[in-house]
Amino acid sequence: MKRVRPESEQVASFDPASARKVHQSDDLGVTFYKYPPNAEVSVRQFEDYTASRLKLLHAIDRACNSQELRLEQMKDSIRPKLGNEFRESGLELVYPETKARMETFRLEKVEFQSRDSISHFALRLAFCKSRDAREWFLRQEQRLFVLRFEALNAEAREAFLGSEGIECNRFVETEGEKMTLKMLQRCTPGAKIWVEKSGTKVPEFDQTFYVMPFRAVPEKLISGRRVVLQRGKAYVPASLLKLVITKRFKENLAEALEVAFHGQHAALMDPRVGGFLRVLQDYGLQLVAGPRSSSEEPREKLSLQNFEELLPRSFPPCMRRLVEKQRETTKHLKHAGRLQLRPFLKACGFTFEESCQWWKKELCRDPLITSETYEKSYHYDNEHAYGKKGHHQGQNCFGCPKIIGSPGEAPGQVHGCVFKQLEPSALQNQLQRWQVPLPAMMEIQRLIKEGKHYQLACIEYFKSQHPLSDGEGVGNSPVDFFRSSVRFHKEKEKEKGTTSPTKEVAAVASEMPQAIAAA
Amino acid sequence: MSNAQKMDVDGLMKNEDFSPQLLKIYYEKFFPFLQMFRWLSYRNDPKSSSPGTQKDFFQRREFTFVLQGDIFCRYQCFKDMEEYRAKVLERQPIRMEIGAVFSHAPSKHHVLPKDVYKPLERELVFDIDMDDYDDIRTCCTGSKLCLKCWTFMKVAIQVLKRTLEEDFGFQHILFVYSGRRGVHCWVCDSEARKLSNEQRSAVAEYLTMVSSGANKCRADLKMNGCEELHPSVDEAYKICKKWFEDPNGILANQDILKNGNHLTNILEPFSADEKDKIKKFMQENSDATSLQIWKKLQDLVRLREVNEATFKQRMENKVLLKDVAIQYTYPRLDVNVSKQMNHLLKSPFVVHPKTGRVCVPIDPENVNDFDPAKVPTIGQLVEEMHDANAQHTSLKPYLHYFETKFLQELEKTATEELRQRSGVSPGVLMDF
Repeated sequence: MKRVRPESEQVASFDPASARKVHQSDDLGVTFYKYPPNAEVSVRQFEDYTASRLKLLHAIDRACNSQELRLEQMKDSIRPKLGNEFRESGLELVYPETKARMETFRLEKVEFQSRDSISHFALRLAFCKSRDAREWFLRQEQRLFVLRFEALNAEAREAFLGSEGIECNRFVETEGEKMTLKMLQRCTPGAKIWVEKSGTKVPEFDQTFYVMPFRAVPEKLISGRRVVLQRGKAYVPASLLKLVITKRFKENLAEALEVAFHGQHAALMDPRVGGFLRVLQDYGLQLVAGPRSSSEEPREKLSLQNFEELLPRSFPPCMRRLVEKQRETTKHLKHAGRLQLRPFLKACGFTFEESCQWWKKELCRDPLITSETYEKSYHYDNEHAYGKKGHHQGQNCFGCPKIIGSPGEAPGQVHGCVFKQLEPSALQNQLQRWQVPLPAMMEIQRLIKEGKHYQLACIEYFKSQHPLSDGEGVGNSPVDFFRSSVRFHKEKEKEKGTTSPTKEVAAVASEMPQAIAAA
Repeated sequence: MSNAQKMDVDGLMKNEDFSPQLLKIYYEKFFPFLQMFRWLSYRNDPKSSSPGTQKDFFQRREFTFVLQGDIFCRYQCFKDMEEYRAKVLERQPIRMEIGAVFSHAPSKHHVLPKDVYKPLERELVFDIDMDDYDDIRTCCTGSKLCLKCWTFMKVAIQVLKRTLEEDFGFQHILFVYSGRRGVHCWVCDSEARKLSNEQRSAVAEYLTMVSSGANKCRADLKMNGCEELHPSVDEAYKICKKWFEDPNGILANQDILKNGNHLTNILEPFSADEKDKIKKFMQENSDATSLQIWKKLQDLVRLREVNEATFKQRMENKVLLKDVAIQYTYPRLDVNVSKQMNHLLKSPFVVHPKTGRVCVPIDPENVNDFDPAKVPTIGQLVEEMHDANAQHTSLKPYLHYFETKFLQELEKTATEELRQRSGVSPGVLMDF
């Protein structure tokens, strides 16, 4: 890797006016990240830059999610909230205003680009593995891109579009042509911006429109007739230009993630950063980084003896519902439900024999299933889950994102995330049956309604069932819910001074890789 | 065909309109293989040696044969026009469908991994079927068709053409009678052929303004906070209004305001006062026509405009009644046909087995001249063929239109594009 070469040209005499002029149309390092960085940094710096970026992306995600925002609305409502995070991350470059900054701007920019580029490419490797990870990364990087693009001045924005090969000409009214600025303003939804003026909101119209081939415009603007079309050209108001460029950004990055996926092996094998990258791959998506229960930690295992006690006490709602529904209706769980429940029970501690016994007993509650049917049709699944048959790798418990992403339930099916699958009234019934107190129920409904925060809703549920707990460790996977619950009850017993001889004391091993410090 | 005369498109037809024997003669003597080939290859002549020509372009086009007994044979492909003709004559399909141009010849699809064999180009297509108008059709039901309900197709063609040409800038558009009760539209510009599935969806949604349904009497025209209707809605309305309010138009033909619940539904957003005025008018004029009642409704809206105060009221009035005209006339597309590149659509010039009629092109500039009852059947064509006195058969005008107004224009553009691709001057390219 070559060293970064500092700007070697000398600034002979400093003229503020022309310096300001040059910098005002600067692109502030906004980029599509087409070329990998060509710089040399220490391993420490590599990790720091990358961790900072990840922290920033999570901050952006939280800020946006709580409002289900469209990209158009980001600048005004989100940017102000993230001032601190941007500053801390070092991933922001602003136009220089003072003489001092103007002199150092070029150097500052080079350093910024290096940090920006390295952290971006590192995170590509971290988030290329699963579809959930890719989608999350694409969304946050898109948002970050929009925020930066919006900070550019008009000339810089137009120049950037041009440099990306997007035909983008300013609309100019021509004599004899039917299309006028006024008409465009009156027919284009995005052209009207409500501005606060002396206490009231008044509408102002975008004064600039851009003409480009309709294929360059995001599909939703076409399908919703949100831009005027004429002879194959779309007339895009300046305020929506970011949608056009962001669409291109997303397309490029999606392709790049595919490339990263195929090339990740080399990076993961690198002795200096491979371990770090692997940790990011496994934990980068964590909603909350609480102490994760490791598999080495001694803990209370789920067994046939304690099953009935732990079911209402420590089972996450998604799994609790599956067990209860199967019993209530005496109809066996369908494939998706079994696929969801089986590895969870295994991860919680069921041995193979216990699992077989349990499933046999539960499935046979359904009059249609006899001991023979069980042996014939259902026993194999258990063997498969425990790695005894099939690909011999066993089945891992699904994480929350995957369960939430389950398809809707068809009649007769029970699976997925309770907070997503159930309609508000059905959810309310279920929570009442589980004796969830009213304030918690309302908070849960609110989280779902205002932002589809199913995982946060689950944390609320946990907190309601485990008074005074802060729900640490909950929200990423059903197994974590179970373990956090078990730990909670253990500590309560310790405090009370009663320890049953059969239960073990769980030691909380807080494993927080230094690299991940998502707040 | 007089207004009263109806055509039973699904009923038993006389033997001489369709039979396998007639079909055989039709394929041998009438089906325009060369013209179809010229269209679908867009100047990519497999025998050409000019640079820029994709010699296997035609071979990578998927066709489907449907044989007697509804047997579907997919993944048909042909090296050139000769093979195309030979295979059709050999298999005698009762119907053919045209698919996309793929990355590889469809006959090889089963040996290729799924993400390697994919569609590269495909015309943008639309399908309009009379079935979707059943909730507003009163002149006919089921499989019956008459000139009155055919009017729905005429206005659909005009609206579609305007939008595709003036909004999207497409130039090579072919409308085809689907053989029974509908119209297909093929957009053949190279930009259209290269659209992705998402883009096709977006175009289809842009073109969608109404949905069918019992008791639906107005289109949901969103102003999206704008001061004016989107130009495409406005322009569509201008065409719709004409066909809606014409004395021989849809309002009169279907007698909408005097049938069923339509008037009640239309009156729903009006005030009690306004509803009373209409009720009174109808009591005093029991034989008022739909048109006359419509004029009264328009008077009411005009009165409102004088009194409107808020922005909201103004916007509502801008749309009121326009949304009704659009609901009853605007084209109802089957968007699923348009959204996917690999969707198969019936080929022009095939024969409808139930009616014997040929799926002929429709000239959008002269929609009033097209009469589905006068579309030639193959029985008729064969008869004409044997008539020594006949100068030409009834198919000729349609073939002439296809050749001069569609194909030649298309070839001009395709030639120019080929020239640009290969950087060669036009004189060097070989002509057919």
